[in-house]
Amino acid sequence: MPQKAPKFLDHIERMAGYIPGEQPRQADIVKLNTNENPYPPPPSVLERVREAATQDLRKYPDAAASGVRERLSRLLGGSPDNFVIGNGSDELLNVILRCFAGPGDLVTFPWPTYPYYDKLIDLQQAKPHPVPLDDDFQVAIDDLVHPESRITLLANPNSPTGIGLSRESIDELASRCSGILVVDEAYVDFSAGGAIEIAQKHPHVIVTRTLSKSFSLAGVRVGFAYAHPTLIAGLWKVKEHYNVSSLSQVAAEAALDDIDVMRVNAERIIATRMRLSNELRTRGFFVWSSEANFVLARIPVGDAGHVGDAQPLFEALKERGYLVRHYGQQPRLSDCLRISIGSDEQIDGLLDTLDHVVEGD
Amino acid sequence: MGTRLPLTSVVRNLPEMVPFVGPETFERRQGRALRVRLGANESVFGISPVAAEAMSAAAAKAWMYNDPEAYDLTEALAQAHGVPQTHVQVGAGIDELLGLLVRVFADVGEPVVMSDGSYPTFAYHVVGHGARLVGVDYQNGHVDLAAMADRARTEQARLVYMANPDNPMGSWCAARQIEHFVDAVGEDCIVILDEAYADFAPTEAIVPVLPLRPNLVRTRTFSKAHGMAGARVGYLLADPSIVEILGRVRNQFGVNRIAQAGALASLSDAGFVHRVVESVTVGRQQLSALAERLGLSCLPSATNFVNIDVGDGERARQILQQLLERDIFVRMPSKPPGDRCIRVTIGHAEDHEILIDALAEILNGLPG
Ligand SMILES: Cc1ncc(COP(=O)(O)O)c(C=O)c1O
Ligand SMILES: Cc1ncc(COP(=O)(O)O)c(C=O)c1O
Repeated sequence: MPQKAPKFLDHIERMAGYIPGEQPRQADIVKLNTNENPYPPPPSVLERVREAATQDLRKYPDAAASGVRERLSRLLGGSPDNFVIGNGSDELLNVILRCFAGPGDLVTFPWPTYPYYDKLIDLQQAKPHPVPLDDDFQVAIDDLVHPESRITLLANPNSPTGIGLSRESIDELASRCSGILVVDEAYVDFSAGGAIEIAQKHPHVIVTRTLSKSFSLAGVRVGFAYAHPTLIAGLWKVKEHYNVSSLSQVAAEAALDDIDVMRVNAERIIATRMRLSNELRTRGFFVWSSEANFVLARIPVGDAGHVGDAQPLFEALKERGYLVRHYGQQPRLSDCLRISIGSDEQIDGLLDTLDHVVEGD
Repeated sequence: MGTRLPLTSVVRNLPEMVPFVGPETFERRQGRALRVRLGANESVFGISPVAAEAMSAAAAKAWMYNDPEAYDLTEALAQAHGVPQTHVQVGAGIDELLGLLVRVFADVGEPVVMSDGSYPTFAYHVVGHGARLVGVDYQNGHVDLAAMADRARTEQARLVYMANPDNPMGSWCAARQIEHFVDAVGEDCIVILDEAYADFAPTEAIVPVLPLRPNLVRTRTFSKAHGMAGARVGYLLADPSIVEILGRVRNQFGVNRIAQAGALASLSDAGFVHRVVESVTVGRQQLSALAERLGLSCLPSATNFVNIDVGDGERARQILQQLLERDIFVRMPSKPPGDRCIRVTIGHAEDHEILIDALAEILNGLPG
């Protein structure tokens, strides 16, 4: 029998894969690399999942995820028809790209940002238009407005910088940009922002959010999008029918019913974020002012051993059980580490370890 | 504002309606719960207690992202099938994997061949990615492999799909014929062999896993015999080059943490699946016998559902509607020759009796 490799579409063959943040298999490492929440979701989540993980799991999930959409509309405004639920906000970003960016279409986004955007653009054979952040890592609105853009992707607060853009600026961007504006608010609950009101005003604005960060449910995979019902209906045409498992739906429902737990956890994380930022600054790091559950820190200049490259420090921390995020030799980020906000205890441990490493233990 | 939405041409040309109405939507419209839910080929026999236990435990770690490689589950599946891990890709149900396969193998406008009226979600993905659906008629209620191979060659298709056993027909083709078919379409054409119902099929229907043909992709699921449709876990077995490419385009965290743990545990409970398959076999005979008492015959089935022949499509549609009014949810095949049937998932004996009683009533009220 002839054995020949299968032929893929050319653009797929050329594509590089997305490399997600490392999910280490050893249990004892302190994970401060993928912006998870160190505090548990409300106990009702566990109860509801346990109830759902029984005979009822035989049923296909509710394709409309109605329970989740109803709760979201009560909490955030609008009607259930303003919402669509995804298998993580990653899935919704994918669906949005499929809906609005075909081959050759321009997709604009600040850079650096969430690297997954780039992959999704490739997958659609669309044309990436990365707009460099300014010297202070701020989003430059004027540069982001492009008359031919089909989609503008704005992570707000941005990752890996943690910097947020003001509501006024987003409103201005919404008025000036062409095509669809996606405001990816994965980290919004750690900030004072929120663009849902802007999406209520502008029918071409989509706000995406996730339960992975503030709601402590990364492993459950629930994201959602808010937009004008017509736009939501367009996304519905393309998404997988049964994209969100029943387990995920009940977990999300329980977490939303007990939303105060999320708010309390977010407050704690914000407090720890300020403390970590200050501690790092005392140690000579430059820390951007973050509105997310992580901070981006540039290592002290001229430190022996790691001049302009945070790789050795990243490795040293990892060896000692602390996994943070380093972006390799990526321009503008090679001397930075992104550190997710863990519990106070974890952050104390990290700071101690950092001191030991710097002292050369 | 509909017309102002800057949709891509592919999406703009999709049918207007949300194409899919699930049973929950019916329930919301009716304002009450279904009495009998035998429309989605779910397993009434539930899940393994071992799986339930594992999912409960996994829920405690919900705050952490799941393993994007689903390493443990992939390894266990590889061992179960006697292949290296590089041949296995896990996904959020077969449905998600079908979408990915269309995405990597079928360009806009390119032909994709399947039996006309076979698994609608595959057709949905083909249309959704702007490829062109080429339907081949069933022959005597079976996938017509010779005609499919002919069409694939004349159309120079790069992708063909068959479900074995087939949904909605319930029929199956022999492994030897399928192997011949995979060779006949040529090495430039990928065959998706959707084995969602493989657990219920006779051994003669199952193509041996080895040797692996580079143009054969087979899909399996935890939704049917394992009873875990709500968890969304499926997988495929394929050439490592295909697995590698799918790794680039897939939703990295698509199979959630709890679902991964449940599938892994269910896989270890072979006794459970075995008992489910036996119960389904018994249920098929029982349901067919009940239908025969009403003077109706059933198409042979190697799946967890049975097609009850009610004569013609118009009658089938009326019956479906009237069943729904009685809070009984079943479906019907959309195209000939299956559309003279109502398709009933195997349930418990009580479910069958409720259905058959309702059916008797409805048939009485319908003209000859
Ligand atoms: C900006 C941004 N958007 C989206 C996501 C993905 O979220 P989800 O877990 O809902 O897929 C992330 C995760 O890191 C992110 O940083
Ligand atoms: C032929 C066939 N393939 C795939 C599926 C869906 O499988 P999953 O639940 O794994 O997405 C079904 C479900 O009805 C089916 O009939």
